[in-house]
Amino acid sequence: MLVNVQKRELQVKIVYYGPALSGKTTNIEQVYKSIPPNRRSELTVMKTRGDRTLFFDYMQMELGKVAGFTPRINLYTVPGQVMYAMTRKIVLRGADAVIFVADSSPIRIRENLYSWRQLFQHLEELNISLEGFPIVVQWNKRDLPNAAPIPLLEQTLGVNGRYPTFEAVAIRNIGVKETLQAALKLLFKKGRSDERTKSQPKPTP
Amino acid sequence: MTVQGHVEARRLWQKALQEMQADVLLVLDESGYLIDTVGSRPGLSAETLSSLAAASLMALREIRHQAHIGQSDDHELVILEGPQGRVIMGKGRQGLVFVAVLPPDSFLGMARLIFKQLLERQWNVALPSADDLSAPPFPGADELPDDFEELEGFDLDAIWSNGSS
Repeated sequence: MLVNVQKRELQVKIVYYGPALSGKTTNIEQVYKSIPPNRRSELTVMKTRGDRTLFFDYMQMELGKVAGFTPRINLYTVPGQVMYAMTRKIVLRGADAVIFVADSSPIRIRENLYSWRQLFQHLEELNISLEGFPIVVQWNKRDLPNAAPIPLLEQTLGVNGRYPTFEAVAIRNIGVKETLQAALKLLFKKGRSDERTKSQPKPTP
Repeated sequence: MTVQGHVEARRLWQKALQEMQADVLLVLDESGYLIDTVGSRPGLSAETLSSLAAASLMALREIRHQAHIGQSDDHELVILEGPQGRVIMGKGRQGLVFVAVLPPDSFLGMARLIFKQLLERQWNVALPSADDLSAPPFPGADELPDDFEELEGFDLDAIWSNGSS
């Protein structure tokens, strides 16, 4: 989180993470469509012909003045393909929150797990403290006729109430806002608790 | 040489901007996170340009990786030229990325030299960090918003249109 007191701006970074083709870009595209143009930047999307994200997608949105500051929310997606691990790690750097977009298709459960484990590996490598780090999980593509049951998805990732989860059909803009709202709430909550910790007097040895 | 603090760094970035005769100089981290902008150019979106520049540099890195040619020890510079000007970009120490946009009549040799100096310097400015609220990039930035509670309660419905673009 970057704070510019001169400009009264608060810059935060939220990264959509998840396996290939799980709907990360679709999420950011729906956010882009839902936010008025005067409150957001252009959407930078770098896709190959097969709709695969090459590097990352990016947009910035403004919440307007809140608590005397203008929070600017920078949204990124990472490329889901396995070979882009290095790029994913770079994009994750400096993240204030992560939205993990999982694919509800039963045949993608293994990919979800692989990506989920890699997320934590990258966070550790980046020295991002996992305690209290805001992560929101989105079960996307719930409209699939053979969508895996939520308890199975939760059990596979070991989520089980440790992280907020949301069902979504991102392509129809269902669950996109709720997921993003939860991530914002968590990261500002963390900001508040960090601020409290900082302001507490340190015990004398 | 190590440059401590954002104020000193900004002064040097402004000086570099003048010496390069550039319109604008963007400073970002390697993920495209915009840290600072000096100068201006009409119609230029600093955020979009910085994310694209970061992606291009990532692409170069991936090309090196995929082609198994190894990473370069030297700083990699990318120069784009067009009838309305030039763009120079490159990644320096600590992953700090610089992007300079120059007018067409700028002197490229000098700009390139100044740009290389930017890349070679050690900039001890605060980079975005998820768990480091105490790393102020600007003077006085330790005065964080005193009401995170209000931020926490922000409702996206206030700006969410549910419509199409």
